[in-house]
Order: sequence, then structure tokens, then C-alpha cells
Amino acid sequence: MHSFYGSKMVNPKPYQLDSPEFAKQLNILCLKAKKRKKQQKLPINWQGKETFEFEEYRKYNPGDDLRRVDWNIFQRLQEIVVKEYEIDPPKHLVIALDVSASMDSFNKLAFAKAVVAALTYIGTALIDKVSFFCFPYEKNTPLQSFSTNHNILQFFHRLQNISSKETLVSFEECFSQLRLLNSANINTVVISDFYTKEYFRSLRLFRGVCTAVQIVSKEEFYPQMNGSVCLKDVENKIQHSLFVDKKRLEIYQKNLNNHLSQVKSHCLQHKINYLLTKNYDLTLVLNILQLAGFIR
Amino acid sequence: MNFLYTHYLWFSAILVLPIILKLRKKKYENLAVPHLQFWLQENEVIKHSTWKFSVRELLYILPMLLLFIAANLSLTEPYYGELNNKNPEHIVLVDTSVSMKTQEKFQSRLQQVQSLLSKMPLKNKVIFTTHKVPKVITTEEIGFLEVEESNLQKSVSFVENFYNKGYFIVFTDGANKDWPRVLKYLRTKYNKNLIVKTIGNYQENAGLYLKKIDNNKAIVHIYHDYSKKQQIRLLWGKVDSEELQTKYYQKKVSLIPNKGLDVELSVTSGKWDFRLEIVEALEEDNRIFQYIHEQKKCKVLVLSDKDVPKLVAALGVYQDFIDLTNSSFQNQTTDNKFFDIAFVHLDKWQIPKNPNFKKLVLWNTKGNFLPYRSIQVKENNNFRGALNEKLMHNVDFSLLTTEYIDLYTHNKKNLLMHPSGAAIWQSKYQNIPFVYIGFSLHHSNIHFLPSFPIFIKNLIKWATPKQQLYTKFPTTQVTLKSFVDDNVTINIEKKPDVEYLQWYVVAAVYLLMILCIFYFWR
Repeated sequence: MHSFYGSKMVNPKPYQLDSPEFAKQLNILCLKAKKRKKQQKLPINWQGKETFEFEEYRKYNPGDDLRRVDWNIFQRLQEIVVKEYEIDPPKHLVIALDVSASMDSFNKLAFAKAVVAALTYIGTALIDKVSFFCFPYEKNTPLQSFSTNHNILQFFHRLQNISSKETLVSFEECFSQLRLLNSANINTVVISDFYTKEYFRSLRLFRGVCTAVQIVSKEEFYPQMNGSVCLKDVENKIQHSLFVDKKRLEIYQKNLNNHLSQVKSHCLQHKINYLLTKNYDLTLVLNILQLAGFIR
Repeated sequence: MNFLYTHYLWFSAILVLPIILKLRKKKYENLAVPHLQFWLQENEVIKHSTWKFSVRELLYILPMLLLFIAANLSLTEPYYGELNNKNPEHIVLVDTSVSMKTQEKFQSRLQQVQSLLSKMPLKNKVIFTTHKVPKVITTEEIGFLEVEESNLQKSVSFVENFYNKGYFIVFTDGANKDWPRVLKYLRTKYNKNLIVKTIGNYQENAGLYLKKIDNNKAIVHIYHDYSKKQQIRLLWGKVDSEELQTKYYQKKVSLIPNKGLDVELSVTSGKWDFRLEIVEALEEDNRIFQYIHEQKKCKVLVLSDKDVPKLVAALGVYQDFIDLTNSSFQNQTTDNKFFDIAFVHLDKWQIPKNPNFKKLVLWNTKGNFLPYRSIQVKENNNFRGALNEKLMHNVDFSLLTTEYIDLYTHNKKNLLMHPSGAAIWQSKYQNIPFVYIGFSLHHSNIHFLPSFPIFIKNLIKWATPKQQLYTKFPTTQVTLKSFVDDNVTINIEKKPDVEYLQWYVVAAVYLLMILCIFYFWR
């Protein structure tokens, strides 16, 4: 991206997933998370209840825990059915990363990748299973699941190489695969800037616990530009020439704040956990885990 | 619109500079943003031009462009209209009178002309001189030209034939008196195309030269440019190597403005020094040395069968002009001597094949008649044979009026005219000039006329070998004031009939420009 103020406001710490500094940071975070988990005696859900009442049977989907399969019914009906309880303790963390073109600006994607890496690393230590996928969905980057952190470095390497997609794929297509693993005890974390309205509106489609992490950079909050500029939208390539002055900046701030409040209200309305970050700080991971209900 | 100095237009390439400067500022940077909609107002239409800068940006550049254009135009000197002729042939007339050799500041006036001409931006020019036969020369030759007194009017009228278009440029010091008249004529004819450049520094002065030496009499011509009546002294004296100091004769001469003066002085053979005594001038100024040779005498041969006392008496009057020792007054004389003139008064005589005389005076002795004028002398023919064509009897010369007798001059072909034809005439036979007299001395009354001895004297004078006069002009300078009024500074390439861009137009452009700068950069 060409940016005339890029040199001024570039993030001082571009997150290098292979670097020892990053590994050190991860370990510290992991320790903190474990400490918080130990204090937790019983798995609790987001409602704070401890009941395990049976709710219904449903068809087996790939990725479901085999321990929940009702083998008696299988013997009778030759059909694999999974038992579903009303409240199931969260065992499966699914991370969805937005790799649309808008994420590429202002190192947002790099930070998001770091967050994903941290979540997978800590998640494998705490939870049974951690899955990751990117959207807009592509066949090259399929759903990946981890139960241990044995091959985590290879994953990091692959994660590092993921680049932003400029093509805009319809959201329905992206989530068609995701719907399959939709079950009540899945905990989803969606990391995006949510600039596309379609994205945050479709969050309610997720069943189970859903956490929306919105990443907005400082540069986007306080843009420092003036004079005549030709602005080009990253995603739909529309260009527009305008003169930036105080008035124009005020309009921008107003529009941005409107959008953020819109996202927030939407999340509240549909009982989706919402987290907004302005600072590129990895302790965000702990907040996410807390909101998702894995740690206290 | 045309430009006088088109090569300055290359500077207009500088016009690119402000544009480059503006582009380098990168004010219109293409900027990628994650969400364009945030930047827009409600209902704002998306507009985008592929141009790097908008109209607003152009308005910023405009004053700077104007600045460069105005600066450039002021250099090129634009004008409306057309020059008359794109390649006019300019005619340059260089005065080659004697005074143009004058040395001033280590340069002669001709060399000054040369250096001036080489600096002038004339592309096509033809340079003429004012010699008697005008020469066409190049600029390099001007410094080494020979000078001579010239007939100005003739040479100017000759040069005029070559004039087509362009300028008629005259370089002169104006020492010749004819210049005012000639220039007046040229001014009326060529008007603004005539440019006169005068050369040299001038002060009122007088000069002199020897016009003629005749019979120990020298005619000195004094020319001057005094505006008031002036009295000066003319000094002349014989320079002897024996005597240390020369004795000078002196004569007071009063000079009238715009008039030359001829002074007749009697001189003997030898080296003479003529000079004018003028207070302001240098001692060497206005001074000439002239060597005067002795007067040569004529060798006369008289051939006659009878006594011709009247002729001999006439010759005797002018014996001072005759070299008596080398002359012969007998009938039969040749003796391998050479004579200047032969008087022949014989009944029968033929011109010898190898004559021992230079010139001939021939009498018709046969009768008292005049020959017809169309007579022709042929080889081996007796003159008298030709005379039988038409005869005129009993001519009484006392009846001839002075209208018809002109014995004093003998440069005419017909020396004496009778109403019926020529009586005495001059011609040439086998490269021998002769004078034929169509009547006998015995049968006419010509010897009674008072003009007869003068006629004889003129004949002797005609035959006398000429004393050659090498006229010496003053070696030092003749600093005569110019007779020329014109002295125009030469600025050829600017045409007066062309309208140049006025200064106030340029000033207005600059003012507008400054206003623009103030408006946009405030």
C-alpha cells in the first residue's frame, strides 16, 4: 500500500511469528492463562449453570466428539447420532480470521495473525480442540484443527504466509462449510475489522458462544492527512478525489464512530461478545479467552 | 506575431519547470484506504479524474507559467507585421578619398570602417568604393584600399544601378565637398533606407595640394572647412641640401567659407615645400613637398621648298620653348635625329615609313582653297590627290569671324571651321598625330592674323613632351570637418515600420502576474 504517512505511523513491532521474542511472549501469556484455568473447578458455561440435561439427538457431523455418539441407537437404527445436552461445557474453539483486503492496511492483518497464533497455542494447552479457518473461504486454506501443539510451528509458518484476498467472495459461500460444524458447544472467535456490513450481520448465524473481535488501528482513528488526495478503496477499487481539511476529518470521525457503535449495538442485540482493540497488544488474547468463557 | 530574436524561444523549454516542481510535490497522492465510505458526506457523488492535478492545481501553476512566458517574450521582442524583404541586398558605399588614409588612434579611417562593418549584422551586402571605376570588394580588403581623388557623383550614380531593396549605407569622413549635395539627393531618393556613418574626428582645418605645374608656375589648391572667413599664410620655399634653413616666401590668403582657392606661384625646378601656417594644427600638418622638374623644350623640324619667313618668324617669337641646338630649319635634314614636331610645307611629300618625328603639321601648298572635310589620308597617297573633290576658291580669312576661329585649343578634332567645312583639323595617321592645314601660307592671309603666332605656340606646346606631375597629397592628416550632416547610429535589424510590443503591455502582463501570485499564495 502506498501511504505518505506510512513512514510516520507504522507499527513499531511487526509481529514475526518465528521470532524468539514472540515465543517468549506466548509462553508468558500461556502461563497466565493456565493459572487462571487452574482456579476453575468445574466447567461452567456462559450462563454460570452446572446442569447437564439431555436436550436432543442430532446427526453426526465431521469433527464431533466421538464420545458423544449414542452407540445404542447406532446398533438399532444403523445411524450415527450424537447426543446433545442442554448445556455443554465449551470444549471446541474455532477461530475465524478475516483476510479481506481491508485488513491488510495499517498492519492489522499482521497483528490479527499474531492473535490467532497466540489463541491456537494457548487454546491447545487449555481446550480439547482448536480449529482455524480464514474467510473469505478458499480451498487452499482449509479448516485446520489442533488438539496438541506438536505441529504448531509449521502452522505458524503457514499462517505467516497467508496474504490478503482482494477478491470479494459472497459471505454465504464462505460460511457454508462453517455451518456444518455448527453445534451448541462450539466457541467461535471471529477476528475482523467488520467494515463490511455483511460480515457482522451474519455473526448471529453462529450457534453457541460467539466472540467478535474488531481490530481498528490508531491510524484509522486519527488519520493525519491534509491537502488534495485521491482516495482509493482497497476492496471495491473505487477512486475519489477530495480535499482533506478539518471539516472533512470531522465527517470521517463521525462516520467511523457511527459504524463502530452500529457493530457494538448489533452484537449486544444478538448476544454476541464484542471486543474492540485500538492498541496492538497481545494481552488481548486473555480478554478474548475470558469472554469466550475458557478462563476466569 | 513574429519574433525578432527567435533563438530566445528555446528558453520556453523552462516552462516545463513549474509543472515538474508541482508534480514533484506529490499533492495528489493516490492513497489506499480500507473504507472509502467513511470519508464521504451523505449523498456525496463519487468523482475521480485520471489527471494528476485538478483545475485548482492548474490555477496555482498559471502565474508561474505567466512569469516565464513574459520573461521570455520580453527577450524575443515580438512584433506585428512583416519585414519588407527577408533577404535584402544592402549596398555599402565606402569613401576612398585621400583623407580616408588618415591615421587616428593607430587605425586609419578605412580600418575603422572595416571594424565597424564587421560588427554590423548585415547578412547580404555588396561593398562598393568611390574610385573612378568603382570596385566591388569584401570587408577584409577595406583596410588595404588605395585612395585617390574621385568623381563622387559618377561613382554614386554607378552604384545606384545595383540597388534593389534594403539599406543604402555610406561610410565617409565627408572630406569631399560634393558629399552634402550627393547625400541630399540620396536622402530624397531612399529616405529612411539611407544610413550615413561618418568616420573620424573633426576640427576646422585647411589642406592643400598641387593642382598643376605649367611653365614654372605651380597652381596650389587650398581646401578648407572654415565656417567663418579666415586669413592664413601660405608659405613656400625651395629646399636646398646645401643650405640648412630654407627661405620661405609667404602670401596671405583669405579663405571664404565653402569655397576652395587656387593660388598661382612661380617656381623653378627643384624640391619645393608648400605649407599652410595654422595655429592649432601640428607643425607637420598641411604640408607637402614637391619636386619640380625643369621645363622641357621642343625639338622642331621644318621642311619647306620655298622660304617661309612668316612661319620662321612665328617660331622665333617662341624660341624659349624650342630646343634650338637639336632643331632643324633646313629643307633637307634628317641626320638620324629625332624631333618632337615636323612642320611640312612641301609641294610633294610622303610620310616616311620610319618617321623621325612624333607629331606632324602639314600644309597644303597647291592652291588657295580649302579641302572638303571628308578627306581621308591613305597610305602611298599624295594628300593633294584627295583635295580635288571639292574646292573653295578665294577664301579671305579676314572675313571669318571669331566664332569660327578657335586656334587656342587643339584638343578638338576640327580646329578651324569654315561655313562650308573644316579648314584646319586634327587626326591620326599610322599612330602619328597630325594637324592638316587646308591652305597654303603663300595664298592665304592667315599669317596676318594676330592669332597665328598663338596657333604656332599652341602647336609647339602640343608637341612638347609633358612634364609629369606626381601630385602628392599631404602625408599627414587632413582633418577636415565633415560636410556630411547625417550621423546615424547604426541599428540595422530593427525595422522602423514594424510595431514592437509596447513597454506598457509587458508591464501589464507582469502586474497581472504578480497579482495572481499574491492571490493564490496568500
